[in-house]
Amino acid sequence: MASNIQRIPTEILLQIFQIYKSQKCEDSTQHLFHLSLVCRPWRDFIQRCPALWSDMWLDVSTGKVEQQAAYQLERAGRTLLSLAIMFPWQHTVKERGEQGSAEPLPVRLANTLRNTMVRWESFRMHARPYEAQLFLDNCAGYTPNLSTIIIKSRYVDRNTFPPTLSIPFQRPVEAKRGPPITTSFRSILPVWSSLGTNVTEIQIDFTEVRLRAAQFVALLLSCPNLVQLTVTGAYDLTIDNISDPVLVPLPYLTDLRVSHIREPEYLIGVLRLQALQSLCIDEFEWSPAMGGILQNIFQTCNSLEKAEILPGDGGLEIYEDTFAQERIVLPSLKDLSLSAEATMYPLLQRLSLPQLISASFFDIDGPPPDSTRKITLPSLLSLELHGSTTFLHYVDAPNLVELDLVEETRSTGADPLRSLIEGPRPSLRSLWLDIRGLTDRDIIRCLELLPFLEELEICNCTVSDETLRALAKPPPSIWLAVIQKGLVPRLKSATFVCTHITDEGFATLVASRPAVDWKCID
Amino acid sequence: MVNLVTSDNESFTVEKAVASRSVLIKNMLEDVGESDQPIPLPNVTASVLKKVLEYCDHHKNEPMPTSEDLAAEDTRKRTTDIGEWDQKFIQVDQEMLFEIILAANYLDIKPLLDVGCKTVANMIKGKTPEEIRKLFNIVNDFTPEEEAQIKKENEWAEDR
Repeated sequence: MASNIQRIPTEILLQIFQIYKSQKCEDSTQHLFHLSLVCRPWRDFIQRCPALWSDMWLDVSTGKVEQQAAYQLERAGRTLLSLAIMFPWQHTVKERGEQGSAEPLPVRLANTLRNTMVRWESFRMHARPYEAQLFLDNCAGYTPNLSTIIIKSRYVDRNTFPPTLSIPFQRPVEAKRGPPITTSFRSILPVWSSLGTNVTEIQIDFTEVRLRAAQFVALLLSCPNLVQLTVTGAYDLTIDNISDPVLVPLPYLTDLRVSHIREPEYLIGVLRLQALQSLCIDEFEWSPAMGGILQNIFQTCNSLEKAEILPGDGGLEIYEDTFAQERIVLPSLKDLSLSAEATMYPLLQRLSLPQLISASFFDIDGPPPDSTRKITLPSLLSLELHGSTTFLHYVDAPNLVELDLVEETRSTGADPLRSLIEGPRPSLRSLWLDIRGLTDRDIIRCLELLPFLEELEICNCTVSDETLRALAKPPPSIWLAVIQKGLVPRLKSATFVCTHITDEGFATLVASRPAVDWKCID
Repeated sequence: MVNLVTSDNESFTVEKAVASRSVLIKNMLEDVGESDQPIPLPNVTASVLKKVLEYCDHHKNEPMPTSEDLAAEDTRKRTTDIGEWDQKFIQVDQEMLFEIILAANYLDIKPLLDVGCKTVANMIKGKTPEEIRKLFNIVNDFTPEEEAQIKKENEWAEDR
């Protein structure tokens, strides 16, 4: 019987082999080796197909990396290369028994690969700073097709500053524009040649080492066309501040994310931004300086669409004077997440958010200060509150359709919820209640006022079969439901988590309204 | 509606939106304009076209892949994930699987070709050369000496 797979054309066979070998992002040569042992036609095809050899994953720990590089380069022909060189963390170059060789392995590898630099599309290296620099020093040259650079290092002493790593890649004049370059670094700071102007994305991970702000500023100054910047640190590692601050204009930066940096003001404070669309700062310590920086960003970045300001636990003193008195309009902001009530109220009082669609407020510990005025959010569709629901008293959101309330310690019951619903009576479609101590009576009273509700989830409340019985009988029509105060006739799905309902009560409810997707989770 | 005629001379009348999932047919329709003339598909049998049209009908409301989508897919970092419906759809015998792949290639239905190629790649996954031969009924045309020679040539790739 003829083989079906041998009927298909080689371009489809190539697709199948490419998918097969990409099942692991690591070394794919073993996969190809396996396939080439199946039959002679497959072997001939694999040997003669450069596209299959373009991913080079060189794992130094195998001890055969030079053989592999030579073998793959021979078969890869003139295709663009995706190069990954992985040095093991445990040993130094000398410890790997290279006494017999005149040159260390990074240099020998660089010598093998240097002539292919014009075809590098992606460069990835995991190495200690010494090994990485040794390789790079021997790989100066043009890389017109390079679009991805990932270099990850590792440090033992967390209190040292990250070393800088000179990256000698360049673009020839005629290819200056070339593809934009996205980069990612761990525990090292790159120093660019002219290539920095082509870098549009930088991710830097400083979780293992301290950050020296001056070096960071120098890096940003060499990348004036940055579009995305992500900096991740370790909250317990302080930043070495700049004695003589320099301003860094990043006119094209649209996405800025700073995470686990205790004093982000030392980094963000030097940036001059105007095109920012997304700002995320989390796990940091509030300070008046940060308030001023945020205010400045809000005033200059009219295109800001998303803001997540989520400080860590520390530094919750109220900085009433943190924000200037004048009102700040954020005309494009659609998505806002804030935590730490001490800063939330003063900030919200000063913001005008005409286009805000989705808001999440976390860590609200108690009622707002006496001076708090009601906040009007005319476009708000979705609101998520974690902490005290008393905040609801101060929100005017007439178009709200989704409400998610989480309150771990019962303080106020359903009153704030009723105040929101009974006010302009928004047409809520989705309601998630996770409020300890909320009773059947509280919930039924709320649901009576929500004839348009389609999705309901109740968690951790003292709900019993009484609520289920109230939900069991749908009224014949929506308008009659309103008149008769029947419960949620448009309901499509409801979930009860960790409540006090019985199996019998739940079964009765399900039988009475089979069109609803009911779930009960212990 | 569009009338399609298979290699075994069977006619299928389908919605234009369904037929146009095939770039080949879409281009033919655009070239010919409004016409009642049947479109001959000499490389596809009725049983295979029926299956292909089932796929096209299910996906008719999805946006057509753009050239950028295809370029992104055309790179090395493809996933082998297949949607739930597509997985059930492609559970066919091996002969039909390769017929669908050939038809998708001929009719230029990239997403279907992709589902077929991913399915074959998943079938190969984790198997030894001998198991792959058995799976696809491939004759081992290497002599034992050749096999030993190939293993020797590639010994740097072994045991890693």
